[in-house]
Amino acid sequence: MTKYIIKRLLQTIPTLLAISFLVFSILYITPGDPVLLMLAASETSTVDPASYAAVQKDLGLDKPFFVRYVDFISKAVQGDLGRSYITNQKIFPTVMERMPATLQLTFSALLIALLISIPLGVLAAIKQGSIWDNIATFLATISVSLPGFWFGMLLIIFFALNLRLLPSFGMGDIDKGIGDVIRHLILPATALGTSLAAMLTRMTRSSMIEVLNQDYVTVARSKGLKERTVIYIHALKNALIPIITVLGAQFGSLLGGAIVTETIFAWPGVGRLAVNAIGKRDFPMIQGNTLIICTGFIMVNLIVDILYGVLDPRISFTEK
Amino acid sequence: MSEVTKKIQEHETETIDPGIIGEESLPISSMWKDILRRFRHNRLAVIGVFIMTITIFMCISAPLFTKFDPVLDMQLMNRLLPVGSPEHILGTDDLGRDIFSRILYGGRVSLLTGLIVSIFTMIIGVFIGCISGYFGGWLDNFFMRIVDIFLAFPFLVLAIAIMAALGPSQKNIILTLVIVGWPSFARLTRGQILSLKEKEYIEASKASGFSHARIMFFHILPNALAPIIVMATLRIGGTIMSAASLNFLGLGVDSSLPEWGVMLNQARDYMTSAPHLSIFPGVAISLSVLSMNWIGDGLRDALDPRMRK
Amino acid sequence: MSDNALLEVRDLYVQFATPEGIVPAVDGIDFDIKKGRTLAIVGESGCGKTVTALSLLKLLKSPPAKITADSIKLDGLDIYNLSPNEIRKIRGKDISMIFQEPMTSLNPVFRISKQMNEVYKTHTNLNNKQIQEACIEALRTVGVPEPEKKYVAYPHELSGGLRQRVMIAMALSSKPKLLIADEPTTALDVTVQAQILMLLRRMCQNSGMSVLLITHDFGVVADLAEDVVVMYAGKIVEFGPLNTVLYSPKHPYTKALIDSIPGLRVKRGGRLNSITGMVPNLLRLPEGCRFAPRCSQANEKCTRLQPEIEQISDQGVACFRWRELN
Repeated sequence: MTKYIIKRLLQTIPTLLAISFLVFSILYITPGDPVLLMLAASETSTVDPASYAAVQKDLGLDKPFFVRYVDFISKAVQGDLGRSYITNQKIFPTVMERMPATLQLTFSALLIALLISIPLGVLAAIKQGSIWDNIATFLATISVSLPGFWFGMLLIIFFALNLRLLPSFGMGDIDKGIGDVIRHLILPATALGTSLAAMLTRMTRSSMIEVLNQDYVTVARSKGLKERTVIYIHALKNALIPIITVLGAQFGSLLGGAIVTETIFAWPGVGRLAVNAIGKRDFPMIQGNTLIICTGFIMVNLIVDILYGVLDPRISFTEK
Repeated sequence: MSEVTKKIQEHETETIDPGIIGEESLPISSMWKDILRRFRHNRLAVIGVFIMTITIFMCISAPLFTKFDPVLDMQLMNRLLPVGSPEHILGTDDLGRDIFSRILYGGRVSLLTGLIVSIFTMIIGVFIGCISGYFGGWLDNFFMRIVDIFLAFPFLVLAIAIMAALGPSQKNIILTLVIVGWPSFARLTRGQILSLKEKEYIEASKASGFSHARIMFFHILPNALAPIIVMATLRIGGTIMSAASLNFLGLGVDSSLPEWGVMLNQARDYMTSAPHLSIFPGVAISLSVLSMNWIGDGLRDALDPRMRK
Repeated sequence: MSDNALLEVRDLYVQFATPEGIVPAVDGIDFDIKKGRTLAIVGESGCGKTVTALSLLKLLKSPPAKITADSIKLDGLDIYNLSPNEIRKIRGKDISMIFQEPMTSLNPVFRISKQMNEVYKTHTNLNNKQIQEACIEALRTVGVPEPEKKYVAYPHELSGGLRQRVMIAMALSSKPKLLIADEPTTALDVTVQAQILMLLRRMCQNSGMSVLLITHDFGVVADLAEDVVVMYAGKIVEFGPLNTVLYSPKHPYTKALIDSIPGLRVKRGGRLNSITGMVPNLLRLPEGCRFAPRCSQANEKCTRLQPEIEQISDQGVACFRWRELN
């Protein structure tokens, strides 16, 4: 088991390198001169060559591409992602400071999605073909087509502004109690989690249907086990395996959705940070932020892979 | 990216086998007739076609439906009119512009974006996937490594990073979505090619001395087309959604131009005072994506009934 | 009802509702299984024998399946009209079943131990330790080597033959009155087949349990069964004690089945006989005798009318011409 984990960890390194290269080079193609930006100079005003050279050297922009890249990587693994063009604050701590907020949001969304989709999917599978099945599938299809940000806005309008039940923006304060945290978390997590819930419901349903047609389910029944046991113990564990496997990739789309959700709900996470940075053309920040988000995503995928190995006993030991 | 996610993606891009197309084949006309018949029997798909046709028609012939210019006709006296006002059935926005008109003209942008992105990602992705799958070897490895890297990114995260580099405009949105979108087509096509490559009639073609290009494009590709077409159709809906998201975040067009995502962004400031601004662009996006999804699902079921979930 | 019948089935029908119409998989059959004896139901794929077996324990998904019968009695007690809960109590206890595919019959994500323990937990009051001992002993009895190790293993770590032994151990754990064995050796290698058949024979002899054996292989029938029922296209065409059916078959289909098995009656070096034609489509059954289209002895009456079963003491045939042909 540990060997498997270490092996997977090592396998992520080339991916991380490739991602960092991609992130780095994307911003290399940026139009506009970052030196001028830094000097807050407009196109018309002249800049004296000495200060231009100085800033350029300071930003390391006088060196060739690959040297800059290696520099970037070596600093990055030490946790130094440079400083923001705008605030001149160190990027790494700034991003990491806001990471917990994003994680809180995405994991809550994931939780809500699972809590909705698994029971619904299982029920739809058991009552396959019935009116409940059709309704559930139909709702799922529609939810997938709903823009997440629109759904978030509708939730705000209805629950926060009309009914005044829940706050419409910001994150809860744990000092004010867990209730405050939850009240602030419900709307954004629901907005973020709904389209994932829709997709997971369909997946759970089809996975469950396939499992229920397997021989071992009939065998379980023939042993005289209660139907409840057959479904929720024998069938469900098998049905969940494909679900877990896509959770890793789906986490990525949750992160993307979080960017939008954080914007609507003024949630102080890394997504909103990214959008603000883009608006202000703060390239080092965009670079650093993206790199951290992608690294986080890779890590989550790794955890999911390991989880999958735990769930399905056929995997861990038979992998070469 | 996750090993297991890769396996799942490969599973999802399993081949459809509609039957052999090629120089010795099923009568093609009856195959298409079968496909059409199955499609027509799919109620949701037909509804989707219906909705999409009406939408496209109304957007293209916008001037027939509204006399207001979506950008220039600002009636500052009539700001934030509610739904059902005379002359403005969907009301007006914060600068007095007619919402119905902005939705229709905005539809042009969204639908066109969806179509262009889908076509280009398909062309690029299929081409690369073909070459990669057919020739194999280091070429295949090279391309698939690139595909893996792209697919390892969360979609929107990568998109906004590229938008940051390119700068805000609808053109750049299209470019970004193509860049981020071609890898999944490449992977799908490659998978199809790999499975079809080994079939006997391809061996026969090779033995007859046909050139690689001819085999690839006339024998293999037509049989591989089914899931590619399905993906392209479903991709239109996804693109409309992603483009609207990027515009919503302010990364795209200027807020004066009509675009559904932009309109929703503008509506954010008026959620209390004029909630109707938040409703209609969202409905437009949802309807478009929904109808394209129904059409895509219908195509998938019609092209290979075995792929039904 | 005869005294020594453990299972008595009268007028069993199983129909499947499909988009193309109603498929009469089992079309009115009667049979008895005597106490302590093994009855084999033989026939080609699709003749309805597996459906018959599954219908006894109501293991078919209904809908689309519809099971109707005049009566199904186990040891004199009606098991046809039981509620789902009551049927559940019989499954795995009074009637156990082993299935054809050992590779897919065990849940891949649970250990053997859990799957075997379940049976004891459901039907007995033993504590965990007693259950564990019973399981390991059961594994030993069915010939699983290193039973303690195999007990805690996962199914994928066991070969097909071993898995089938585990299935047998599970099925016999509550000492059922009737064991239903659905093609128990079909999916196994030839050498393993022989071993499993030997095992089954031994278990039957030791316990006095009745067995309903479903198979398409007359060789297996000859090895294990004492009574035989031959089915074709949902109906019974012949039945009787093993020796009678095997050595003096009366129905043309039975004769053809036996003739087509190499080694059973055909001498070495002789030609292999196969039965011409294919099993009929159950949605488009012929008007007369269902075997008539493939029967070399069919006459005009055979194609027009359906023969009923003629019973003489413990045998029966459903054929108009059986007297002339024998």
